[in-house]
Amino acid sequence: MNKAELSFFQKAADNFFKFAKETLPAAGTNAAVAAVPMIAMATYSGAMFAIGVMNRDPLAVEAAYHTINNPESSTWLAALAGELPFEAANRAYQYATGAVATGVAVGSLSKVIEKFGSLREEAGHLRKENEMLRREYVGNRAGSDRTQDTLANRLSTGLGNMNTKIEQREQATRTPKPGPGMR
Amino acid sequence: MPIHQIDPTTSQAATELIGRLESANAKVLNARASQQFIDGLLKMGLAFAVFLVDVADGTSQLSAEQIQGGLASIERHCDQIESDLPIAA
Repeated sequence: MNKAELSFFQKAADNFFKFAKETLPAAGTNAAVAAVPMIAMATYSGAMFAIGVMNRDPLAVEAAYHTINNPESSTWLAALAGELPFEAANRAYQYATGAVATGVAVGSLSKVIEKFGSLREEAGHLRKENEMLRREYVGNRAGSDRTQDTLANRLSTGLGNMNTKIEQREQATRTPKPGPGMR
Repeated sequence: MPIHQIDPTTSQAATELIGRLESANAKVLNARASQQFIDGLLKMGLAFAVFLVDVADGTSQLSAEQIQGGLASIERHCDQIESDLPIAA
């Protein structure tokens, strides 16, 4: 990314993080997470990607691109096995696993593909992840409410961590604004 | 199963934003910019899209306050792309 791109990207990411914080429940609210699994999964992926790219950590970027570079392997499954090259990404994806394993309605993704020609590919990645993960979890260990509980717990913890990270970023980048501003 | 009713004005606002976000995404896709830049913005667009489709269909389970906040964020995202997107000459 050149300088102009990075400056724009950071502004867009800050707005996106605000969305993530407002839309996704913080830690400890499993029921709320279960209610919005697909938004949680998409938002989580987007946030992790943005954080990786902005940190300019080559390993983080490689982790962010895992799905694109390895079309036949699931980022989520690789992370669960601890195979992603970036430890933070491993942990993040492990937490986020709950989003897909709690029986996600893939319907909303199909509708996204219908309505957003521009997102066919991105939505396709997410759907593939979802399918692979469901095969693994729902297929093998399904039915166990306890498994799902644990996964939801992990997601919930992960979202809490993400919120903390976003807050830290907000405080680090907050600059005093002249005048009363927008609010 | 929505846990509360989404009022028609809100669904309508979401439907309109779907069109705006689609145009914004198309602009990003066609931008002569680095791949990371494009991919990152599209990933954000995807999360926004999932949110909008749910709200437009009245199936969102988020609170009214969360929905309004989300819509405002998406509007800002579109504003930024419409007016400021850096495109290499």
